[in-house]
Amino acid sequence: MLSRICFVLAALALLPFAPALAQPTATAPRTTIADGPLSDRRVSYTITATLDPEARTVQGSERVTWRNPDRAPVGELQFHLYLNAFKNERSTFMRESGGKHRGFSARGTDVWGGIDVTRMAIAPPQPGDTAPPGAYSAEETDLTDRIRFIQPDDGNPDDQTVIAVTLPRPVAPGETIALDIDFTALMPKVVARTGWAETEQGHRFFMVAQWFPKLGVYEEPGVRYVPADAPHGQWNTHQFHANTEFYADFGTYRVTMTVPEAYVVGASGVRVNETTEAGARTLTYQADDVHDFAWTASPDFLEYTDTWRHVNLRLLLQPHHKAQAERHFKAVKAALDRYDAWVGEYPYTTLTLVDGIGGSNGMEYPTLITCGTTYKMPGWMRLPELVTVHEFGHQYFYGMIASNEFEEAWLDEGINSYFEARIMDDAYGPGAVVKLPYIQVSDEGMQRLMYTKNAPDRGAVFTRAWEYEDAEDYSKATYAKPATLLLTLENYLGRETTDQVFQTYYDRWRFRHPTTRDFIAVAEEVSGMDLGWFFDQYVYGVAVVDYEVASLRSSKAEPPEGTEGDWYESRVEVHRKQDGVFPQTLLVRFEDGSEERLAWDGVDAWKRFTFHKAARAAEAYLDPDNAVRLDVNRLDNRKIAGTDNTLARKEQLDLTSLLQQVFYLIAGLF
Amino acid sequence: MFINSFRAGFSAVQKRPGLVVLIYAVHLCLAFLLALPIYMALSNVVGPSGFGSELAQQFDVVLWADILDKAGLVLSALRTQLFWMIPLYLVWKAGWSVGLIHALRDGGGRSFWAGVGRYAARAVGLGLLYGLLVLVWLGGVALLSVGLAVVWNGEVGAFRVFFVLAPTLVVLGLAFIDLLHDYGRIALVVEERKVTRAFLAGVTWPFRHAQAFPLYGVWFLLAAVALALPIVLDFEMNGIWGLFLLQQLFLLLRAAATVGWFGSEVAFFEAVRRREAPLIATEESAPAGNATMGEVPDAGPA
Repeated sequence: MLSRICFVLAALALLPFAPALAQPTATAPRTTIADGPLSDRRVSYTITATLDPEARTVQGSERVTWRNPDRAPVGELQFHLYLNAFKNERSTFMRESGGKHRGFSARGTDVWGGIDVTRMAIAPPQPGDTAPPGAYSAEETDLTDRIRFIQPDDGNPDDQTVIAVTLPRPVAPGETIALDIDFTALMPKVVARTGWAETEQGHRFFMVAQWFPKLGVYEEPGVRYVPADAPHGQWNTHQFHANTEFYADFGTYRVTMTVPEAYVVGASGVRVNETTEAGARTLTYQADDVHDFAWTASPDFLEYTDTWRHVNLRLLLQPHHKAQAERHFKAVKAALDRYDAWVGEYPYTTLTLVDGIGGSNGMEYPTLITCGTTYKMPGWMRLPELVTVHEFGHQYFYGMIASNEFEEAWLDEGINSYFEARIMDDAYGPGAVVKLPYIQVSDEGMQRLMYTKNAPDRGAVFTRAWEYEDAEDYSKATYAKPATLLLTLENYLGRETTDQVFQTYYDRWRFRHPTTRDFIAVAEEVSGMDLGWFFDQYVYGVAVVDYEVASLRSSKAEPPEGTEGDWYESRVEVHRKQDGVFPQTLLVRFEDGSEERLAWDGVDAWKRFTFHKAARAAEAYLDPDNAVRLDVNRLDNRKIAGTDNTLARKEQLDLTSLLQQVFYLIAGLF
Repeated sequence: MFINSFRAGFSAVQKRPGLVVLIYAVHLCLAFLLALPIYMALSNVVGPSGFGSELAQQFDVVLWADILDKAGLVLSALRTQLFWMIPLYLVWKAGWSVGLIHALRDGGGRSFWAGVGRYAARAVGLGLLYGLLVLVWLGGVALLSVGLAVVWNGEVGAFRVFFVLAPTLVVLGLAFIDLLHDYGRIALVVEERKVTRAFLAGVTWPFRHAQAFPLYGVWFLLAAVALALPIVLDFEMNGIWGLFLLQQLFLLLRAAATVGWFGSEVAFFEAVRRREAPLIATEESAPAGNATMGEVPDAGPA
């Protein structure tokens, strides 16, 4: 016993020195909880960057490696230069947006940005390279003059958001090529969630996103829509459009950024090193199994930390929003809990929440999201929570399940909006978005309205993002309509089956590039149903669901033989008013309190149901469980035999009192 | 003098409850008529649906959006109706203000309608002059707010300017102008002034008699409380009619506050006049002192 006590005392005595003793054996923090790579890590980026706040530039050098996944050699590389969308008003982005985007206005001299690739060269051979030594002559290694701008989407010669480089020698199947690229990124005034803005304190805030030359995705045969028997794959490198986001391959990122000492930095991944010297702070971040890297820097951030299981949460907040720190943590934990239970595990060890400025907010990057709120945001309006839940959801949909945001934006925005609605309504109740004494708006209700009351017959969900007629159609068909159709599908399949669909989709497609077709295949496989009729109408097509109870009548009828008393024939006529078809449930209530619940396939334009009973029908109600959220007019789904003026009377009396108050108010002030 | 004037407001309510009922009833009728289309629209659109009782109990944004789709025309007509009703209401307010002042002056024995008939036209003219002051004030606040927002251009600054400073300035400014307007009307009625002279009297008189400000302030607060109570208190447990009746009770109190408010201001004005011009006050107060309610012939100009 004495020896044990001595041991404990000795251990306690050593405790103050424990960190110092532990330091030499400390290992770098893990980026994920997995034992090995989670993705095929086809690319890797090692970037060194220096931020000059005054000049609003990021001087960078990157070594990018790419492994040819094809069975054929590839003689060209393609890169996104996203920042060039903000170079002038002639870019495709600016032409499509009319120079206005989420608060950005193309006015002033300091609003424009861009990226200039000053050097591109094949990197010197590294140990372990698959390329044969001496494969390139000295002349061949410098590729700068081989860079050319391409415009695969619209042919706009002024758009410089994509470059192609013809290699002196094709990259053989399975071979890895490494390039050294020097670049200067000029950060624009915040636009499309990147750029600089002035803080309340008069300093410069930077959201450094889409900021480096970034490889497109080479889709080999069998990937997405490239036929498996195609002779070779192809680059999928779209221009930056006003309504598009991103698409990239998984890999590793090691980014070292130097900023003025006073700046607080947040970034994708985990911080593995930090030094301060001569007024400058240099930080190194490592991110694995991700397809992008973004960072932010501001001297004014307040930093808050918290944890959720294995995840270190870090919140960088504008000082005047400090009262809302807990709202952000509560929201993101609600999302983490539910994604973990409903979809799958969040494998990364960090998550940074950034409270940006203006148009930098509401965006997702791997392990870093921008949330956003406003000063004195009232508690009854849960916009910070909504944005936080939404952006966190992108860690799954597009973050890990990396669909092509250019071509099938609904697979990330739409599915994510569906989960946002579920999580918000589950975590915050019926007034999840707005909670006032007399007005409560749920997230599901908000999504439904944004679809049903906004030209529901325009813009198919399955549409390339830049091909919608306008931003409204894109927004509706990419966010609200998919959320609403998935809520409808959930009610059709049942919550449990729906969760299984998404869990299977996650297990099968995480760290890969699924398509709409792949999602449907999973849904059909898990549910055991042919769901083509559903997706054809509401994802590939623009069918609109609108059913109504057209009439409800009862008349006296002969009683059945052997019975006495009054009998009635009640007729209920239901109509399908638009082209969308969805199976319906009809509930009919009778005056004696009895009910009948019937199924209707909803295919015919109309159908009449006749009931012979000892009581008149009092009410006919289509979709009484409110399951078909796609129905664009729920009010006409129900009809009663008489008239219920309860609401009319209440609103009239309420308005009477309100108008009196208004008049007295006017009288009191004029 | 302040206390006596304040008490005089309550006395006015006690002496002339009919005026309280009149003010209340006109407001009620006007609001009830304006709200009638809402009943018709909702009766047509929601009545046959069976959703009426549910919606009366619980807000449903989806169903309300469907209702607005169908009843949108009626609701936009209501907005138009309000748009032209407000100027008409202000004309009516000019009329009943001078009617009240006339009825409450000299101890409160004169006819309300005689006051309306005799002074309403001039009161409207006076209201237009004060309306100009209101416009000038609103314009000034708008310019000041925009100017401050340019200088103080952050999120916090914008919040403080547009959500705190500007609304406060607007309310305080309008209340201040209303105070001046009240004494302008009183001068118009009690001193039989012409419009421009009444305007000038209103603008200057309160500054010479500072107690006018706290007197106005007290009644402003009382009136504001009576106005806010129907909103703040939740009477849903009493059902639709129960809630309405309780709201009306507070609105009746608000009407009483209006009568009391004018009663206090008229009493204050008259007390000052008596003190400053004893001769005139004696001449004018004599018949009123002997008068009984409703019997006093309208006095001519002093």
